[in-house]
Amino acid sequence: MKLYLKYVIPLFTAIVIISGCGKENQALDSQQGSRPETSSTEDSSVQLRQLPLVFEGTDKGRPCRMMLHREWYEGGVVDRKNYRAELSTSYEHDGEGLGKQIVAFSALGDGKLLEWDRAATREFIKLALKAPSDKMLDPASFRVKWLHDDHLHDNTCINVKLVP
Amino acid sequence: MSNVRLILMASVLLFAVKTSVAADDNPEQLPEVIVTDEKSLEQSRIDRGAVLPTERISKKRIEQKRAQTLAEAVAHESGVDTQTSCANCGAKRVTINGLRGEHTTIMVDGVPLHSAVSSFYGVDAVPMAGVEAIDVIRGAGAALTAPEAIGGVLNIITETPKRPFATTNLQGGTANTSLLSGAAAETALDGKFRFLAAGQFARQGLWDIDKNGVSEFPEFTNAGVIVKAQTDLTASQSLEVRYAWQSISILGGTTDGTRPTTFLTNVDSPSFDGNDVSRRYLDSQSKIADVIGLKRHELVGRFKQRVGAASQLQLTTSGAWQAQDSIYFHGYDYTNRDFLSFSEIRYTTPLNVDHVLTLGADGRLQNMNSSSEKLYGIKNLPPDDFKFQNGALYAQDTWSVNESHELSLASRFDYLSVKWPFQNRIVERFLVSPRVHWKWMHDAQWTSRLSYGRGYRAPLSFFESQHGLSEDGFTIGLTEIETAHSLGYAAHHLTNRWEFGGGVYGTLLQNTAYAEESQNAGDSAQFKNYSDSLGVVSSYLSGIYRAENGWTLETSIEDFRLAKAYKRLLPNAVTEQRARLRIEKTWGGFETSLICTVIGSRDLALYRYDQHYLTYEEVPADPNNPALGNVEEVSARKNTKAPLYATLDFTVAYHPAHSIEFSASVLNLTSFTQTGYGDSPLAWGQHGPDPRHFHLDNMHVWGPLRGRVFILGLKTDL
Repeated sequence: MKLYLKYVIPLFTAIVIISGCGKENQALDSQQGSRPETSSTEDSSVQLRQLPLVFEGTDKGRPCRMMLHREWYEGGVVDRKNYRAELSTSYEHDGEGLGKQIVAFSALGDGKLLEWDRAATREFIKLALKAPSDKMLDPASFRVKWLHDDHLHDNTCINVKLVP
Repeated sequence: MSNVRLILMASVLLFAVKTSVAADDNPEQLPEVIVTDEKSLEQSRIDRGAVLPTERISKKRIEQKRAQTLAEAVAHESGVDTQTSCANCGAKRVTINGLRGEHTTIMVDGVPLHSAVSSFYGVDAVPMAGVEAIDVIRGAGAALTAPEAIGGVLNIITETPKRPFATTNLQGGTANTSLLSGAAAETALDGKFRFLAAGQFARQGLWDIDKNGVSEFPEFTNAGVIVKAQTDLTASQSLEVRYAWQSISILGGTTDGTRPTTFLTNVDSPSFDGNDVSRRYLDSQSKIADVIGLKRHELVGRFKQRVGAASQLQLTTSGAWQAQDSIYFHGYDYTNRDFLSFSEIRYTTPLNVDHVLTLGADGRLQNMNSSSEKLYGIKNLPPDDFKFQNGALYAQDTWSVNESHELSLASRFDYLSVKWPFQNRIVERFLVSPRVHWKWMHDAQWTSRLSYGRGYRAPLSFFESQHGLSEDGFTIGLTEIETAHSLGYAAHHLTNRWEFGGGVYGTLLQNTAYAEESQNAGDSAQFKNYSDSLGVVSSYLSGIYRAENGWTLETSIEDFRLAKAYKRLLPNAVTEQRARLRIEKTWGGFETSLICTVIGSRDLALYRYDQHYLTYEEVPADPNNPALGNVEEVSARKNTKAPLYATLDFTVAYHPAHSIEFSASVLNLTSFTQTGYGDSPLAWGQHGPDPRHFHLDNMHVWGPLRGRVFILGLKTDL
């Protein structure tokens, strides 16, 4: 009985408590993106969190959106350098826009900037995070330069928040 | 100055020829004397016989202004405003009573062959060769066959030869200004056959007053020919046929003659020193060049048959073909082909001594087809083609109530249909447009005229309606025809020496068509009807004194009051207050005239000029996240207060003989221009609420764009 009270019950309680924290962490991660339970060794669409995610901000008072469709780590290596995210934005017109593009962390952004660009047309996407990360966590604002017919549009969406 | 030398040489030669010819005249053969009422017409600018208040711009007045085109001929005339809506391409709007250019109907000899399509550049295509006068008739209901004349009518009256003549007119001046025109007329069969041929070639050079490499006024040439034949088939029948050809060529923006032959593939902001449009232009000339070409043919046939003792049947049929080819620096090509036909049958008969009844029917058909490799082929926008049909019946009773009162009561019953086939839109309406005109001759000197009319306009919206700014296309959201009620009163006093008068015209517009730009970059503009009624009131006072010693003094003051909401719908700032002073002196063989025009100050922000900027600068896309880099955003708003300014035009003419005139003129003597004032028409124009969405525009226009021009002229009657 003493052995049961001294070791089993506390151990059982500790297991219960630890399990509960894991669930809370999962609940938090579901808002911000959860850590991968498995990773792929190939470029695959294994979801790191529940996708797609929609983020909304404002552009000169008008709503603007970004959609995260896929995210992964190249070669399964979980670090900033190998992180990739496929996203699209609401900046388009009559089917013209950037469509889905794959962003990666900028070497110069200190873990707070993801980007994509197409040098031939001078189009790009720049996505700023609120804090350094190794994945697209908590975006703050994004900027899109996109070609509509024959001229470039340059739009910035700020105060970005996750749409629940 | 090569044009000036040419004038001088030609004048010496012609003078020598004329002198030698004069020496051969047979002194026993007296010249034929033809009595006309031209002098009495010259005496008064108001047509005293007309029930409608009609002001006439005489041929002499047109020549005094050195006008090469219709737009120049009517500039600053009473009730009329000629605006340059685009400094790059030279598109002009001629307005009456403060209304839009689309509300002015241009007729030639009473035939309405111009429309919104032709009026953008067409007012510069109409040459002044062969023109005897231009009548300005204000208000809706100004012409029975022009119900779309919500603002009024400009009726160009071509010359009707009464005797054979031949004239030449040669002008040359600074800023590459030149004019060569001539007219010849012949009569035969004891005057039963009359033939007129007239032609003109005119040129004006570009202006770049601030020398920044972008012109504020385009290089412009126009050419035109008119051929008119009238014949009395019998004692009661006459036939008139008129053919006209017109051509204009405009090259704007560029200062080195660069003439693009195709559109820009990609459009980005042209470079200026410091991104400032008032500083030196650093980029390719092809990125700022507009090229416009317009060719036009008109054919009119009119048959008149006297019926009985005093009735008349008149049949008119006409057509106008116009082709416009243009390349705009906003990055697209645009071509349209427009055909407009007008036919009318009119029967006029006196019912009794007091009433003259006019019954008629007319019809118009207009087809406009366009093409654009960039807009339709690449951008896949729907073409702006439209088809307009109009059929009408009308009736008018002119009632001479007594010696003092004359009343004209009329009404039109119209069916209209406008179709935009590629926009899947149709607007069809039946309309009744009554008009009442009352002339009251108080005594031999005083005459009052009161007018009411209801007018309408089918809004023929197309790319030029937004003047080339609709590079993202447009949609038609129009559901109604524009309509207007117009009420006017004018009083006129005429004696041997004095002529003065005044008037006020009010117009209430309904369903005004306008283009609403999308708030989202890349979305199309939408043409729609304005939901509220809009009011415009114009008023004037004018006076002329003709002294015995050859002095003539003419003065006028005008006021145009526009609803604020209406100002925001206009493409350009319009004249709101204007004063004119004209002093003329004739003595011996000399004639001089000095015209001073004063334009009042204006708040340009009311015309959305507060979205015009001098520069753009780089600002952080998001100040909280500098990693996103910098974006371009307009800064330094352009001037939004147009000052009061005055222009002076001076002409001196010398007649060594009746048939020769040498002249010297200075237009804009003080060389006042808005560019010289420090406010060129060039601007970064913000589109919508986003200061990061802007284009280079040349539409910040509020004042003269051409500086001082010296012109020498030689006119001969051969």
